[in-house]
Amino acid sequence: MKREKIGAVVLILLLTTATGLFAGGGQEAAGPVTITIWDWFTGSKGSQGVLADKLDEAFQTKYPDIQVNHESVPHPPYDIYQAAIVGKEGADCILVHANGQNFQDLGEAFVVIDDSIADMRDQFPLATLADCSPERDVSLGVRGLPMTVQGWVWYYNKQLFNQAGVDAENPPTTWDELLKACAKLEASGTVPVGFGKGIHAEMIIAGTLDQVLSDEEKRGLLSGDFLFTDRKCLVTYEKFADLFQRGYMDQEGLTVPLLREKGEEFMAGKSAIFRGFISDIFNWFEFGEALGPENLGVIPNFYFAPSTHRGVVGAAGGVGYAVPTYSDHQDAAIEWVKFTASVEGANLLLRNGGAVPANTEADRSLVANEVGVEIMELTANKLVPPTKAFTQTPQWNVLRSHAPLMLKGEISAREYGEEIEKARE
Amino acid sequence: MSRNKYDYQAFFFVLPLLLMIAVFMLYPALTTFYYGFTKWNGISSPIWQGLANFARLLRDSSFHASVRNALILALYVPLWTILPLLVAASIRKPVLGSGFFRSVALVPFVMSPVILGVLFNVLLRTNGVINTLLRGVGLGMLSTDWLVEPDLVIHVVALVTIFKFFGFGVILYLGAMGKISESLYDAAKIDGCSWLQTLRAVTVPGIRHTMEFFVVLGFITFFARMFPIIYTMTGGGPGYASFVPEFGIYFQAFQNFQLGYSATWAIFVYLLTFLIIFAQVMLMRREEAQ
Repeated sequence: MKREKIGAVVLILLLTTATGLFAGGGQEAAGPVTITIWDWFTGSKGSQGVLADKLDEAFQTKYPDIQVNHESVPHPPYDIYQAAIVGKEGADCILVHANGQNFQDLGEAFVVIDDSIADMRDQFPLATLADCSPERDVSLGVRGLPMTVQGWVWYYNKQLFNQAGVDAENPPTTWDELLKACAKLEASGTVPVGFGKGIHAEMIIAGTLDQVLSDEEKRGLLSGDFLFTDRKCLVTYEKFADLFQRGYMDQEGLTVPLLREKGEEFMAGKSAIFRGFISDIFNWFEFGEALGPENLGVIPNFYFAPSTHRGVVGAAGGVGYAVPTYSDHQDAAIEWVKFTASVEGANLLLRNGGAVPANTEADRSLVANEVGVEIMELTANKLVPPTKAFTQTPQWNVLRSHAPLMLKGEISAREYGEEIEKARE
Repeated sequence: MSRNKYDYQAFFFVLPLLLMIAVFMLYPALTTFYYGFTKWNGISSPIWQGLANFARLLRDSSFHASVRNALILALYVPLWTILPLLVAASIRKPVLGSGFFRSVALVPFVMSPVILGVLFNVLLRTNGVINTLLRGVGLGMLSTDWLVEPDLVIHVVALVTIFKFFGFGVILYLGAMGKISESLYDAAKIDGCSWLQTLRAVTVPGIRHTMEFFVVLGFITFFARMFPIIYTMTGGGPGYASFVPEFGIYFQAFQNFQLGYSATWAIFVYLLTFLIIFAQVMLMRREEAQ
């Protein structure tokens, strides 16, 4: 009898503790609100880490009642985000890529911020706000604000060009000229085109499709009216397979899972041409710092028939913060979203991060780097919608995973396109 | 009366564990079966769509590739089982270096599979250590793209997995061999048995249960515990060349944001693993009965 009594007491204690734990989970402490922010900037080496610190510092000064708890997540972060969203537990604010389908895939999980951003809405091109909206339609509710404009360009090392006898001031702008330049670079003992399969395969292929396809054809990719097996796409795949099989692209790249490794090799002068970003990392700012701004050049894309455009950059809203609907501190978190995309935040970006800000009122004269100035001009005048924005996520993943097979010639360009189409929902 | 009281107390003590299993294993497993029949992105409400996911699974080329790869991995279970057995039998009695070997054998096993995957990615690259060594010793014709050749990569993954568990197998077998009476080995010696005959007639029957356990572990590993090594070493590629069903669960859920379809993959992995383990247990019981 005594044992049963003890057992009953222990059971009651256990249940009480468990109830207390669950009930106490949602209670807020008094005092300043603390918001948790997830991104891949915090703690990272280079300009992004510096930028994160500067943003935190400036925000805390402006909003002393909102404490920022900045936590770093590995990139790409979407498996962690997905787990947090499904579990309704995690950060109050998360950094999302707007140039892909991420805002579209996760959009329902984010707070609509139209009312909160009414006073600054006009500072952003409509297209970049659409990138942060479901189905790229702002009438369905804007869910985040883009800090940056993101796209891909080819950077080149002028010193290596000159050493190989390639005119660095008149770099190749067509595919044929690229092949000739690569032949000279290879002969001089340089890896002509740096490459790491990581996220690079899709950057080179989809980034080139940006100039090859018309805007209507890109939109057709999403709706299924235009397919990745179209002749224009096949020509593009064949160009890269040929480039790789000629030995002009870093052969080791197919086994290197991280773009970072090969980006650092470009910065160390081990490859002559490299597909990089216009914002975030491996951009004009970081490359300029490593090689010396005078040694860095930029080429938007290499033209070949039957491309629709010439010398354009496919770009869209870059990264931007969004507030998950499960957050207990939505108002405070929205302040962070607004601050990071505001003129003040954008100027911090320009000073410290080397990004192209989405905010049109940012002070672009802060850019001192020559290539940076060129990028700002390109994004102001030569911008086209990126293919990535109109590619379904499962198709994008196949575009990435099967690229090594296509480049190596294990599958034909047509088979590659067909594999991408098989993933269409 | 006394017996009933004892049972009640035992139940009370295992209750916390049962609750945890129910909440963290049973409930998710059961809900997975439900989600497998729905279209669900993890955010909005799941939409029931009957067998549509299963029909899609049967048409999915990544699924076909994953099943093929799982079967190839399963073919490595004999090597997984026999290789450590041969080594354990060789060092059962102390020989020069066996003490050192026993100490280092477990290193790959205790190493995180993520670290091992990254390590072998670096070692096996086109210009990695393995190819450089091969070229250095005049065996350049053997150097190849270990992680890019689509017909080769799944075998490389299998061998790396065997390497990871090899030391564990050796230690496990050595422990079991220690329980075999030395008189049996003496008798085999007097009868003039060779090393191989002794292994077959004395060692293997003596450690049969341990071997059965290790075989089951091999199947479970190859069918349901390959994710960290594959993710870090090959990313499931190139294409679907090292894509396994377990990787498909992750890929559909967290890369494609299709949690409903991912649950369908999970149901397949569960049923496959269950069938294999069930068949093995039945086989063992039948042998025991005989």
